[in-house]
Amino acid sequence: MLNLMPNHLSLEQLIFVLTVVIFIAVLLLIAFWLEHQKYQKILELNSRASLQEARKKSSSIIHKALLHAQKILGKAGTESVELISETQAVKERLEAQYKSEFAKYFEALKLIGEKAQAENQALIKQQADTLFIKFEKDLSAFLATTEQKSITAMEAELKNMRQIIDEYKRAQLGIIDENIISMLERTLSLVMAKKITLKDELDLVYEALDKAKAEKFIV
Amino acid sequence: MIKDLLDQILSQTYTQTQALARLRVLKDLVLLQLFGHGYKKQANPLKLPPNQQTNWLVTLNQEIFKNFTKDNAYQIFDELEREIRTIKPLVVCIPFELPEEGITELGQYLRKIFGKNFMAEIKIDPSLIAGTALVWNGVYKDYSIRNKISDNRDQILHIIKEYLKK
Repeated sequence: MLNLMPNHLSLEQLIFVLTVVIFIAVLLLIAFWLEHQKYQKILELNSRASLQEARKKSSSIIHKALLHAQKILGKAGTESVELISETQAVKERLEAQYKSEFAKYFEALKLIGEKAQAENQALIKQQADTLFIKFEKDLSAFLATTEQKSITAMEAELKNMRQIIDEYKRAQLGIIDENIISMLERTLSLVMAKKITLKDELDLVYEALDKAKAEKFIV
Repeated sequence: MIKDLLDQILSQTYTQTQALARLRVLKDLVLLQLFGHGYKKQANPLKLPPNQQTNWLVTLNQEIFKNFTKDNAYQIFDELEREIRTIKPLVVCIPFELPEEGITELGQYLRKIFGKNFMAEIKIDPSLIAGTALVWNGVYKDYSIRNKISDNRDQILHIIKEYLKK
């Protein structure tokens, strides 16, 4: 951290000192004036005679006091001007130093910033590259998985569809078969009712009875 | 006596329904002979056509009527009916109605292979097409053409399909 504070009094401090000096001077003037008033009263009360002398003395005192005050004020003014001038010079020097230091500091900061920016950019680029590579890998894996899943789903769907078609086909063929058998039975029933003789029917019944006996269905 | 009577009644009777009907005809005739015209009001209506009854009654040995008296007639007929009902008939399902001679022929064949007094019950089932289905002790067994078609269904369908392809 740069030391930007001057070793001398600041402008504010200087003004404060001057204000104090002026204030003291004004107080002294008021004190003198009060003393003068007192003294005049005393003179009026004591004697008229000495009034003139007292007036002279007081005037002299006042004059001396005024001169003294003016002297003090003049000296204070001079010192103030000197102080202000000196402070101004210090201020300018400090400003120049400050500007120089600040410029150096700013330059250093700029360099640090540029370096950090360059490093950050490199890091970001590296991270982006890594991210892109990872993303590419993940995307590739995801696409492969999705493709596999899609293929599996399509295969399952196809299998399911084939099963449904097969079942439908089987059902339809079953219905056709049923109809064929039904037609055959109806036709045979009609034909048999008209064409079969009693003997043939009885022969079929005898055959069935023999078979039932052989199978021990009837015991 | 009951056994002889039963043998005579069943000698030319092959189904349980026919046996019970003929027994009623015989009962009516016997009671008519024993109790005269007064009985007619209580008699059951005859189920068989008159010519069949007459034909059957004629075939009976006339000595049979000597077994009945006013005292035992009812008892004998009750016992005969009970005996007939105890005979377990074979239910023979056929696709169309058999004439009387067909039933007789079938009955004789049944007795030839299963023994004396064996009886059947004829049921009509046109869906059988031809042949028969039998019910014995509550068990049904199909020997009809319908069952043969069902058993050989695949072969029949194959033959028909092959024929249709040509």
